[in-house]
Amino acid sequence: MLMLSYANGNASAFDELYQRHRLAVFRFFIRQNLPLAVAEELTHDTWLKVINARQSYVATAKFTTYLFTVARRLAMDYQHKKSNLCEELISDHEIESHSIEQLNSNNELLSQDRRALNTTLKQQIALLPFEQREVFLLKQEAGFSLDDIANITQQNKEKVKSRWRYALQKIRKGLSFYVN
Amino acid sequence: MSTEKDENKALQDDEKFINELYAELENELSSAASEQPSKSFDESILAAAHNAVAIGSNATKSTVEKLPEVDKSRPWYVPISLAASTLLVVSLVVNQGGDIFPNDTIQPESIAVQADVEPEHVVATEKQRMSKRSFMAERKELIKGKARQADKMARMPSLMTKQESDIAESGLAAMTNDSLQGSLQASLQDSLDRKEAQIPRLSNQQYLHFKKQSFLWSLHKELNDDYLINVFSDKNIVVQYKLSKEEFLISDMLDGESHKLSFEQITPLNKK
Repeated sequence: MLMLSYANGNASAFDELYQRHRLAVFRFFIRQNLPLAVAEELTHDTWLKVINARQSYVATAKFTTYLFTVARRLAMDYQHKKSNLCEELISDHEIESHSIEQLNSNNELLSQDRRALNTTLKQQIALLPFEQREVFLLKQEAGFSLDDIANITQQNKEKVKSRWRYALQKIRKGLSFYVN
Repeated sequence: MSTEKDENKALQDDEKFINELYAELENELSSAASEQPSKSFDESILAAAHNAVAIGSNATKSTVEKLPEVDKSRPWYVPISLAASTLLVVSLVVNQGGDIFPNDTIQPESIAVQADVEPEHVVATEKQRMSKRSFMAERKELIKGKARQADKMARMPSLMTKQESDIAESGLAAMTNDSLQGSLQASLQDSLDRKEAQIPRLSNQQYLHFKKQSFLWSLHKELNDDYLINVFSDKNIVVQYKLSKEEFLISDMLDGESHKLSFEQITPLNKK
């Protein structure tokens, strides 16, 4: 409804729409193992496509399905351009931001473990093959159902479910160092 | 049936695991500044959205009366690009005409028709056609020759086994074999490099965690900027990590995967 309202010229409807989904779209890209600048560029392109296509927008499905279909296409295009996504797995500044001096006290050991777990979780997501990663991110982070993901990725549900299963198995195996 | 049930149970178990993990890490995952678009970025998107609406409504008001419908829906570059594409396709068809239309079936008829209409031009046209045919024949022969050569190259390994002595004498064959081995080695190296690039780099937090857990490690390989190490958990699970030489110092290093060392022997080089 908000998108239709925006298409009819109500600019504040877009503000609402953007506030609701800005983080989800940005995280979808940043968790694809992309550098920050690329993630920002793809997020920017996604929203611009939504803005430019406002006149032709038809509400056949949920807006988020439409939004992530656009985002996914851009991610795929980017991946095709770069035959192999071997960007730095975790951005250096993130690691450096937690200096060791800050982590010396016993009270912080717990949070230190959590940070290590957090870092490893992101690494494991980044190491997934593209098809499994997109299913994982759409399901776990963007909150789509398997049916929705099948719509977005234009795959059959069983295939999506299989990718979801493999992604979970790999991540769990990769985290077995940290979680019993 | 039981397998499917087991699979579903395993999937539910994995889903529960990941949901609990996300719930536990909720603060870490949501508070990271690097995982949020910047304020200026947000502002630029919102400004673009507002501008689009403003310009869109203005454009509709001002241009609907002045410009015909075609101009609104079709920008100026569309007819130009269409004309350019058509020209390109026509020129390609004309240039490749000899390949597309078989010479023996269509051309005699067209010659016969021309003979009725303009007899004086037929000889010249026929000469042109003959020269074109001979050119096409030469071209085909050249392509065939290249194909034969490629085929011969592909069979080179089997020839080597059959006629080893002959090929040993041929310097050219030796060169070809060397270049083949070289390209194979290069592609193998390339795939190894890609694989190594995907190995995660050990962070300070991970290092401290492993040290605290008394995990062991062994050196797998030394790279230019990193050490490639195997980390062993208490459950005998092995995971490879890259250890940046700029961030960590290894003391009393022993080569070989059999030497398991403790994380006490790794010292973080805190640059800050």
